[in-house]
Formats: sequence, C-alpha cells, structure tokens
Amino acid sequence: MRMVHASKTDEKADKPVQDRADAAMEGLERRKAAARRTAWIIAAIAAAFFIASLVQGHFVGISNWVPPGR
Amino acid sequence: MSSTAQAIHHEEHRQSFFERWFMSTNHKDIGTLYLLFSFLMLFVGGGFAMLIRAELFEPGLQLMQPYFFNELTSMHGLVMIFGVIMPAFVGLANWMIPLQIGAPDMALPRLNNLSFWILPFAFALLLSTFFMPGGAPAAGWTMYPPLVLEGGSSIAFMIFAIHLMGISSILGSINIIATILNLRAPGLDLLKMPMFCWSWLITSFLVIAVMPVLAGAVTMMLFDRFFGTNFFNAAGGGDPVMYQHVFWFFGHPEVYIMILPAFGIISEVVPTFSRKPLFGYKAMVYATASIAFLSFIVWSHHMFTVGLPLGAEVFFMYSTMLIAVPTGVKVFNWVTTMWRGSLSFEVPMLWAIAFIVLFTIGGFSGVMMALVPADFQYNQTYFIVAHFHYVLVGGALFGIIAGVYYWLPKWSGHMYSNFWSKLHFWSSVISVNVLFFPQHFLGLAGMPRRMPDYNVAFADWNMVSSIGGFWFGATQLIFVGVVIHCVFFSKQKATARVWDHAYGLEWTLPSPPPHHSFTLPPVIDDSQLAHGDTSH
Repeated sequence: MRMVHASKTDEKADKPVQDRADAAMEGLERRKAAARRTAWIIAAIAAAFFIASLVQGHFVGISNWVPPGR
Repeated sequence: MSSTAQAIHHEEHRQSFFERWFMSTNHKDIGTLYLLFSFLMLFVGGGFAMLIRAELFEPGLQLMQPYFFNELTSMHGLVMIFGVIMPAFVGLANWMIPLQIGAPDMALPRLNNLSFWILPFAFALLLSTFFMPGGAPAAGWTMYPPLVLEGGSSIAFMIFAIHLMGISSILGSINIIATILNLRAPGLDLLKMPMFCWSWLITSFLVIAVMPVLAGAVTMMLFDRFFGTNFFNAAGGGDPVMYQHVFWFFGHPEVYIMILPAFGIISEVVPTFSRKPLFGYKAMVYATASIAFLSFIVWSHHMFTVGLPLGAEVFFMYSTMLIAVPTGVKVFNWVTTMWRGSLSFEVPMLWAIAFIVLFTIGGFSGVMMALVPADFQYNQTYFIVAHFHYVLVGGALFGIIAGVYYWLPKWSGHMYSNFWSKLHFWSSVISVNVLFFPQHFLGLAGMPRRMPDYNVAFADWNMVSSIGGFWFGATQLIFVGVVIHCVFFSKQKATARVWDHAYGLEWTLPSPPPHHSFTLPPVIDDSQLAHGDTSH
C-alpha cells in the first residue's frame, strides 16, 4: 500500500494542526486559481468552434446573400 | 476545526430556504437541482411520448391534427435530449465528481449556479412555443431547413432556448474540466480516477467542441428566417445540405455526450457487484477517448441518402463501423469483469446488466445502419426510431437510473425499498422491450417515422408498441415513489460504504456526506481506491 500525502504536509508533520490546515487551504487556493485559468482557455476554445462554424457558413451563405427587398 | 472550516460550518446553518436552493454554490445542492429538473422534464417529455403513442394506437387520426403531432415529436426529442438526459448526467457529475476526486466543491461554484439556473428559463421559452400563433416548431428535433423555416415566428424562441441550453452545457463542461484537472486530491493521479470522472472529462471536451457548432447552425438559421440571409435557402444561393453537415457535426458527438457518462456509471456499478476490480481499466479509458475521437469523423452517416459522393459514403461507412471496436472493448470488459466474479444482483446491478444487453442491441442495429446500401432501406423508418431508443432509453436512461440507485443511499443516508425498486426494474425492462422491439418490425416493413397515420398493415405492432409505451410510462411513477420514500420516509440507515465492495473516495464519507466535504484534501490510500493499483 502506497501512502501519498497532501503536498508539504509531510514536511510539516510536527507543526500544529492549525498550521497544516492553513497550508492545505493555501494549496487549495492556488489550485483554484489554476482552475480559473483553465476555464478561460476552454472558453476560448469553445468560442473558436462557434466562430469556425460561422466562417464555414460564410463561404457558402454570405457570398450569395440577397439583401431583403431585392 | 480551522477558521475557514468554522466559517463554512456557520454559513451552512445561516442559509434560508431561498438562499440554499436558489443561490446555492454547493455542488451537492446544485446536483440535486439538476436531478430534480431532469426528473420533472422526464415526465414532460414522457407526456409528449404518451400522446404520440396514443395517436399511433390505431390507424387513422383520432386525437390530434398532423401538425400538432409533429410539434409533439419535435418537442419530445428536444426535451428528452436537452432537458432530461444531459441535465441528469450533469447532476450526477455535480454530486459525484468532487466526492470522487476529493475536492471540496466544483472549481467555479458561482458559474455552477448560473449553469443550472439558465435551464428552467430555456425550457420555459421552449415550451411556451406551444401557446404561440402557428404553434411550436414542428420540423423534428433536427430542425432541418427549409421545412423549419416554413413555421411560425416561434422558431426564434426555440433558437434562443437552444442557445441558452448550449451556454448552460458549455459552462457546466468548463467547470467539470477545470475541476478534474486542477482540484484532484494530491496523489490522485489521472489514471487512478474513477471511470465516471474519466468519462465526464472526455464528454466535457466533446461538449466544448460541438455545442458551439450547434449554436452556429441555429444562428445562421435565425438569420435566414428573420434577416434575409440565405445560408440554407437554395432559392437564394444557399445550401440546405450544409445545415445537415453542420448540424450532424454537432449531432453525432451529441449521441456520445449522452452515452459516455452512462458508460462511466456502468463501469462503477459492475465491479462493485462482481466483487472484482474493473477488467482492463486503462483499456476502458483509451476506448472512451477513441470513441470520442471517432465521433467527430462519422457525422455523414446520418445523411447517406442526401446524395453524397460515393467516396464520402464509403469513408463514413467504414469510420462508423470502426466505432464498434472501442465500444466492443467496453462491452467485453464489463462482461469479463463479471466473469467468475462473486456476483450479486442488487438493484443497481440489475439496471447495469439491462443496460449492457439493451445498449448492445441498439449498437448492433447501429452497425446495420452504417452499411450504406442497407441504410437506404432503413432511412426515415421506425427501424431508426427503434435503434436510437434502444441506445438512449435502454442505454442512457437506464445508465442514469443505475447511477441513481447506486448513489441514492449515499446522497440521502437511507436505503430504498428493495421490493418496489425491483418491481420498478422488472416492469421497466419488460415494458421497454414491448415498447421498442416491435418498432424494428414496423421499420423493416416500411412504416415511416414522424407520421400520425399509417397503413392498416402496421396496426398490430403499433398497438403492441403503444401498450408497452403506456406501461413503461406508468412504471416510472414507481420510481418517483421509491425516491420520495427513500429520501423522506425510509427508516433504514445507509452505512458509509453502502455496498460491501464499493471502493473510492466517496465511500470514505458518511451517508449522507456533510454539506461541505473534503474541506481539507484527503490522504490518498490506494487500497481504498477502485483503481489505486493500476497494474491490474
């Protein structure tokens, strides 16, 4: 059985429980910040797919656009 | 208790009903909201199905005019896909992913709240079209132009509703990806994650890639209908077949969006009740990824009869048949997991076994349709209806129900009634076959889909199918009773592990888990993980 502990908590095992909890919370905050960056990257990919579908439509549709009333 | 944990504890007890359920950022509460919404929509979409089957009970027009019948078939499809199957899987993801990876919540909790609360407004818009002049859109859930453009102005509401549903799905998927990639407990490597998390990670990328394409397709349709463009209008130089290409570039991966999370659930349930680790865990992960990749290069198999070049038909035929390989890997791995296992047949396992059998039937008929010459016979017939209902009811819906029966004791802290849940299963599994299996015969005999009237030659099997439909619909009321009884009235407490061979971080928490769980990262013990030892 392999035991893997939260980062840094092993090194600080002799510190008070409060310190270890705060260190874990700091680690969590760092990972949440990384998650926000990931979210923006994925959102940009989604936007790119939306634009790509319209660009594809442009080549077939807009080039033949007949404005209303003509 | 740390100062942060104390603050969280106090916040939990200060919340009013409104704050908890309307402004919640808690993944468990939002998961519950998604599941309740999906449950409600199951009965709305199911109600439409009952009306459809009532009209088809015998030949001739009995209950409704053909246009209203087509409104029902269109809205039934849209509600079941976007209102039932997808939200139910997102609800399960919300509940289980943070618990399975040892995260305190989803990575973006407020975005999570927004993702859910978009949905009721989207469906209010969509369903309101029934009461508009000209009625609801009636060109099928695929919304093909030019037919859809002939409808009333209500298609603007449908398009806006689809945009909202798409935004909801995309935001939900962004959250799932960000959560899985960043908030796993230290030591929980990707290849130690439960299969449900893997299936959702891959599904989320599919959603990110294809929902914006659907948004693009319906935006162009909106412009064609209201702003004088001709993207899809042949009379103005546009191309209606282009819509089909763009739509099915979304539509086929959408099929896998609706089935991959079910694969994940079945991969959790089968090992638990076989008392063996999942056979070929890594192969299952790679097979899921392969299915996702292949789903992008098969879309034109929905369009074999529109007049594609022969080379395209051959390519899409073979690429479609190729999907049977990774799918076969999954089915054989589930069966091999059961092989010589110490099997027991608790309710989740019964649903999982039914899933494997019924999904495989739907998969086989799918391979039949992949054959171009044969597809010309099956196209637009009830054979297609039978095929995708085996995949989506016998597959996706049964997978969801398996997941609910597997995790409900964990969520509620109580066990459900063994008798009533087994009655729900047996009644469902028999009636679903009475409902859909005869539709294979009807389709092969030439009965077209989306028609309210039919030749008397099809009368007998339609009557059988309708009886199966009413039976299956009524059976789901048992499910409502089982869930309500379990949550509010059951006296039998659930233990933390619930099932004696269930492994994974979620089973290390009490049942029900505390409102805020894993506020500190758990210490990972490989022996407590379902896939801690990846050498098997």
